[in-house]
Amino acid sequence: MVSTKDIKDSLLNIFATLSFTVVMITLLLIVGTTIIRGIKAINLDFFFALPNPPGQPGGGILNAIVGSLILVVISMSISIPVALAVAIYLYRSRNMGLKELIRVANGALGGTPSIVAGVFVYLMVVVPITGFSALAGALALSFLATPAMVSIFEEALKLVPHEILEAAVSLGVEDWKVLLFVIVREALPMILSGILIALGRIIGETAPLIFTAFGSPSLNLDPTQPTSALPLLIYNYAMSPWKDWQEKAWGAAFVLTILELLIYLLSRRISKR
Amino acid sequence: MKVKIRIKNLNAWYGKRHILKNINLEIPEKTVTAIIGPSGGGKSTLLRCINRTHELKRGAKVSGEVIIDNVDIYKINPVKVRKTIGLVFQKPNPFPNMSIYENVAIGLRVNGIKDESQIKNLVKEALIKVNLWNEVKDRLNSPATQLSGGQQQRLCIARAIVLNPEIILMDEPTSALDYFSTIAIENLIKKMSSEYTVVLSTHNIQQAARISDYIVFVHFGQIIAFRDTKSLLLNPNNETIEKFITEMQ
Repeated sequence: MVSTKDIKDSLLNIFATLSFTVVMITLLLIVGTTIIRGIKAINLDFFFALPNPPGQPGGGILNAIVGSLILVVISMSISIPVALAVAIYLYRSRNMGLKELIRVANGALGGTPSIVAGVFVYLMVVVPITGFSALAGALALSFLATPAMVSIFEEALKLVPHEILEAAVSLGVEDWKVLLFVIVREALPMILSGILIALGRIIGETAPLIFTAFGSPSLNLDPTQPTSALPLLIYNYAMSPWKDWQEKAWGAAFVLTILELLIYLLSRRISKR
Repeated sequence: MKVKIRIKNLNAWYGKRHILKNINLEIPEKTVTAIIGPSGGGKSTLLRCINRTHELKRGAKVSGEVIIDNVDIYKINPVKVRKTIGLVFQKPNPFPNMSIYENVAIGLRVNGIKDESQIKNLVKEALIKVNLWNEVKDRLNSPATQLSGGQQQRLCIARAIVLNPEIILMDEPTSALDYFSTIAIENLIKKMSSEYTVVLSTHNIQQAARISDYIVFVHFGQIIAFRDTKSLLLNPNNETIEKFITEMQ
C-alpha cells in the first residue's frame, strides 16, 4: 500500500534531483563553452602583448590584465580599511539604534545594482573631477565590495569567543590594541576569506566600469587615465564585428573564469583552516 | 601582614540580578586566597570585580570600592588596573591563531616592548616559571592549540605572569583539567605565592585546603566567612559551610 506520504516523498526527491541536474548542466555548459572556445585564443602573446589595431589579427590583452590588477588593488585599498572600520564599530558600539541603521544602509548598498554604482560615480566623480579614470572605476567597484566585506568582517569579529576578548583585555592594554592585535588577528582567516569573496565579486563586474574606467586600448599605469579591464574588454570585443576580437573575448572570459575559480578555492581553503 | 586588596561595600549587578551584596574583604599580600562556595554564588563575579573585567559584559554594573595599594581601582583607567593584575580563566583560552611563543610574547609586544631578544628572554623565563619550558622548547612555533589542556592552562598562566603582575586572579583554574594537570597547577600556585598575591575561585574545598592560606566563603552573593584555611576547615562554626564541606566529601 503506497501512502500519500510516500508519494510526496518521492515527488520531492524527483524534484530535487531534477533541479540539481538542471543547475549542473547549466554550469557545465557555461564553463565548458568558455573553456573550449576560450582556450583556442590562449598563447604567450595573449598575455604579454597589447591589442593590435581593430581588424588586424594577433596581439593580446595585456592592457586589460594590468588594468584589472590596478583597479582591484586601488579598490581594495579603499574598501578594506573602510569595511574594517565599520565592522569594528558595529562590533564595539552599544548604540543599538545606530547599529541597526548602519546594517540596513549597508544591506541596501549591497543590494544596489552595479550599474547604479557606476552611474553614481560617473555623475559625482567622473564628470566634475577626474574624467574617465582607473580611480573612478576603482571607486565604483568599492561601492560593491565594501558592503559585502562589512557583513563578513562583522561576523568574523563576533565569532571570536568572549573568553578570547577577556583574555586580551586582561593583558592590560588599550582597547584599540586589543582589537587590532588580538581580536582582528584571531578573526583574520575569515577576514581574508571575506576579502577574497569581495574580490571575486568585483573582478568580474562590467557595468560599474563602463561609465568610469571606460577602457583603453593601450597599456595604462596612470590611475587618473582611462583604463581597460578584463570584463570591459570582453564586453567591447564580444560586440565587435571582428572575428579575432570575438575570439579574444572568449579567451579573456576563460582567464576570468579560471581566476574566479582560483579565488573561490583559495577563500574556501583559508576559511576552513 | 600587609593588606594588598581592600574591598569596601562592593555590590555588583548583572542586568537586574544583584550578584554581590555589600562585600567587605581584606586580602593579604603574597598569599593564596581561595574564594569558595556553591556555583552561582558570585565567586567568579567577585574575582572579576578585582580587575574590572566584570564590567565588560553587557548590563553589568558595580558600586563600592576596590583599593589596591591605596588606590581605588574604580577611580582610575581600567587599562592601568589590568596591567598589574593577571587573570587566568576556567577553560584554558590561549589565542588559537597564535603559536606557543606568540601567546606569551603578545602581551609584551602590545605593552610596547620591541627588542626581540628581550622578548625571547622574558618568554623563556615565564615558561620556566610555569614548568612548561622543557615540554615546549622544541616547538615554540607550533600552534598553542596543539598542547594538552593542562599545558594550555600553564601557558595561560605564563601569559599572565610574563607581564610581571602583582596580583594573579584565577577563576576555577583546574575545573576543566584532569587529575595530573590539576596537581601540576596546584603545585605551581603554591610556589607562586612567594612572588604574587594569588586569588582564586574554586568549588572544590579539598583544593582550597591543599593550596590556600585563606578562605573566603561566598554564598548567595554574601561573604559568610573569611578566615585562615586551617581554622575554617577544622572549626567552621557555620551550618552552611559545614553542610558544604560534608557534601563535598
